[in-house]
Amino acid sequence: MSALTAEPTDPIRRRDGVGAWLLVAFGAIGLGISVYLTTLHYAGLAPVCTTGGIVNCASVLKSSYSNVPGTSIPVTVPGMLWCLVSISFAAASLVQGRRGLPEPRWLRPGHALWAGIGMLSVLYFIYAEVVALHEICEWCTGVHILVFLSLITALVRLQPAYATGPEELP
Amino acid sequence: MPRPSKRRRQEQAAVRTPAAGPGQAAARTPAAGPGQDAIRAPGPGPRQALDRTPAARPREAGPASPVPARYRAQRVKIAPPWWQTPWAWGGGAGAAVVVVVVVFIILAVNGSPSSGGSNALQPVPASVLNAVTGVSPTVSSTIGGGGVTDPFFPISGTPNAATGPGGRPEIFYYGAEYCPYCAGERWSMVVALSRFGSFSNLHLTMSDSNPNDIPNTHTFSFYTSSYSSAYVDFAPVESEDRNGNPLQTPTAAQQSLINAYDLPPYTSQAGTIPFQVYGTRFFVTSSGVDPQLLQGMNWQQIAGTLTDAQNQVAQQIVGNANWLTAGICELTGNQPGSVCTAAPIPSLEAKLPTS
Repeated sequence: MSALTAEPTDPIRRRDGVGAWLLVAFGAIGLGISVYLTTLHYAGLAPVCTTGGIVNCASVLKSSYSNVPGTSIPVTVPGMLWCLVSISFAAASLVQGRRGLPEPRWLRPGHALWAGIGMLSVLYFIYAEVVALHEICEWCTGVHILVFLSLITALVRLQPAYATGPEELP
Repeated sequence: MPRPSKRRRQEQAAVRTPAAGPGQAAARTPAAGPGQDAIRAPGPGPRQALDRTPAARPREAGPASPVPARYRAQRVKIAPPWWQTPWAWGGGAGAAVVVVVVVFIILAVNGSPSSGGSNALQPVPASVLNAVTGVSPTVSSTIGGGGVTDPFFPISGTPNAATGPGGRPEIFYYGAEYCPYCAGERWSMVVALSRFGSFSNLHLTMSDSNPNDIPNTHTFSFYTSSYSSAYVDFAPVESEDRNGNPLQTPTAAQQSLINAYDLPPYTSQAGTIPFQVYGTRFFVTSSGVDPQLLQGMNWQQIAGTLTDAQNQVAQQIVGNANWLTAGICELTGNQPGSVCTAAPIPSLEAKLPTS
């Protein structure tokens, strides 16, 4: 029996529901930021952000690290795709719960793996900002934090806190 | 519970009969005649349900209940091992990410060979400095002009070129660290100016990493450097670092030179960099070194070409440096003689434009 088919007051179902909704929220906010930066890139406009000093998103977003290596595609485009997929994973979990159906066995491990891939990309961008450019971008850092929180949440959802066992009726 | 044997069941039945005394057989009802079996204690008749109250539940080993036990899934709280708790995985991943980020910060603070930020932290290695300041006269002579076009425009009319603080002819350079053409030109400038004086506090840098430009051209930065010479003064202005952050601003006198000469028809648009002014005689609005030639080469590799007169990189860097040397010799009255009379300088000097 899936945890999501237990009683609504079941603490397991409440925790899983909160986790799924958090993942949707993280993905939605990240998607919004990615869409904003992508729009500005193709419009040739600078984002609203701090310039000068170590925080300088205009400089970071003009660097070669802001494009997918070997292309002129801004990295915000794969960022948007990552957010959409992450939202899809979490939404699938919520939909299954609403229908009283068990989640596919691959759903949560898949989401955790996807979050891990996103986190590896984030580490690459942090290296580029901190080590190569010596500057950081506020918008980029915001997305990095959202990916990190998505990873933690996906890993927490991966492990159930309870196990089932049989008991004879009196 | 295994079913008792038939004999055991009969013995148990006899014990239950209240009227049976020790050694007596089970009591017989008055109606029971000889030959009849002992009356057993009445049990539940047909259609009577088992009494499910706890008190009625059989507690002794006895005959199995006629109704099989039923089970239902019920949640039982079982404490998992610590490594299987949700926060063990999440906390572990979070700690790993934090450690990696801290490592990156340490790398950034200690400096990285690939960094070429606004402060150009890396000094020029001795091997590179020796290569650019000690170009062989043979190589220089063989290369000659290197196929580089005469870079100088003459200053005409009333010259308002700046003079250095020591009264020496001033060479003004206006560029930026992000600029790839400035990156190429600086190699020739260091070679040429090193023939008349010496640099100190020269640093390494790269042009910007914009893939739509000519990215990461390895070069020097004149920012925070100083130059001393008995013949000329050198006044460099690096306006921005490789990331576009502001560095230096031209003085009013320098800005007037930019406004006067760094514009069409001498250049495609006003304010083009690199831009140089040589005393009151010449100005330069282009780079004699194509940064495309330097792509994929680090400082040591570029410096290493300067011993090979047949190398295309060396030909452009040294050839352009020879032109700049000829222009400087014009300012200094061909001093020092060891530089200005050595081939190919005199031949190039003869080709310089006149006002």
